[in-house]
Amino acid sequence: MERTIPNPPWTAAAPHTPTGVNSSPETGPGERLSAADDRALVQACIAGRREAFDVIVERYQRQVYRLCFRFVPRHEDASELAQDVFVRAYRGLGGFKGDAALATWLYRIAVNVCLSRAALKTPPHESLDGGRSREHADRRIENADAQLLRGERAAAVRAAIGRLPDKQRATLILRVYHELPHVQIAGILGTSVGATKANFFHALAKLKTWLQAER
Amino acid sequence: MRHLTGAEFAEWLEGELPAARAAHLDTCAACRDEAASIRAVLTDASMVEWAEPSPLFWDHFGARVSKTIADEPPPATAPGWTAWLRTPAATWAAAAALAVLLMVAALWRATLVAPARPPDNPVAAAPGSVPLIDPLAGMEDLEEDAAWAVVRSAVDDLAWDDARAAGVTARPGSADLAIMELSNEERAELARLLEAELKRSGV
Repeated sequence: MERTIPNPPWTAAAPHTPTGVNSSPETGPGERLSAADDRALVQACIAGRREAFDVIVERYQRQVYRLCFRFVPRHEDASELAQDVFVRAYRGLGGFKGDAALATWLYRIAVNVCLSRAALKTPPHESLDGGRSREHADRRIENADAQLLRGERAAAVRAAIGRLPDKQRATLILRVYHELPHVQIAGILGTSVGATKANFFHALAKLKTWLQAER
Repeated sequence: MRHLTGAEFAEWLEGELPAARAAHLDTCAACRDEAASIRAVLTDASMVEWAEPSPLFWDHFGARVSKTIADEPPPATAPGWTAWLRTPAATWAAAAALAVLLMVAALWRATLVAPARPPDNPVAAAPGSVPLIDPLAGMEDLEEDAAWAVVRSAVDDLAWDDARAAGVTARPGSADLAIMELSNEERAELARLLEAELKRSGV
């Protein structure tokens, strides 16, 4: 059967490890932090090496920012939220037990930060550059009408996503735009895999209802 | 066959629904329509693009975070559950709990009724009268009792208020209830003993 969503690029069980690096649990003074795995970076942070956290930020800032932006589609708010996520992560590093991937842990903090912001309840989407979408290398040139309709449709979908209940919205964003598997989403949101799948379905069902009403 | 659940629709979208359940779509128009409609919505949602910030943003973002945490102390390892046991409050709580336990055990032991020993020199009782009971009968060996020694040492410093606070004292009205359970002869003997004690103390 044709898959609608491509396979997620990485799994919950695989911590990020740059290629060609021995994943030793501790980093010596001479070992480059940028090549260390997540667990070694966390231990280095706890040991007082702040530059290790800089590596963590550089490694995960895009994912965290994009998640925040999908909750608050305003650059300034998303930037502020993403910064808050990393500050909270730094403070809580001592409690990171390593039973989940660092990325999962960061996603969990990010979702909690985003959902706790009351402003998220009322989107309207404002893109960074007046509605121009992210460019693809192989994108065809569309006529103006098609672009306008496409843009309006996208805006309607984004607005509808913003109206979803918290867990349904988080589930849909993590699944569709971050391509995380349901088992990892369940770990992030603290729910069961079955509940995650049900939330995903209900989110889509609500979007269907609202988008049909707008047509 | 029952309709697909929400979780099963999600599995169908990702090609993970078992064939036995997926076969339901062949026979149920309602589920088939639902599946088609949510697939269309998912396609619409998947095609939504989200603007990206300028590439310069990433360089500045990392520097901002680094500056924000510059004054933060290094993250400390979270203490395990056993750390609580080493706090002064936990030590005092454990000592207080042990003291209360000893008090309860001591008072319970003290309220146990010792089996009555036959008197060595039984007093000849008048016909129909209640035989006198020596309240100290059986107490000669008490001082040799090791358990009693523990109880005595535990309650030596026990204050009445502490015992009452621990709930091991007689409740109000318990003496009245005990008297009501006496027979007429026992009540008459109790009255005689009280009268004799009152006269002795000059009341």
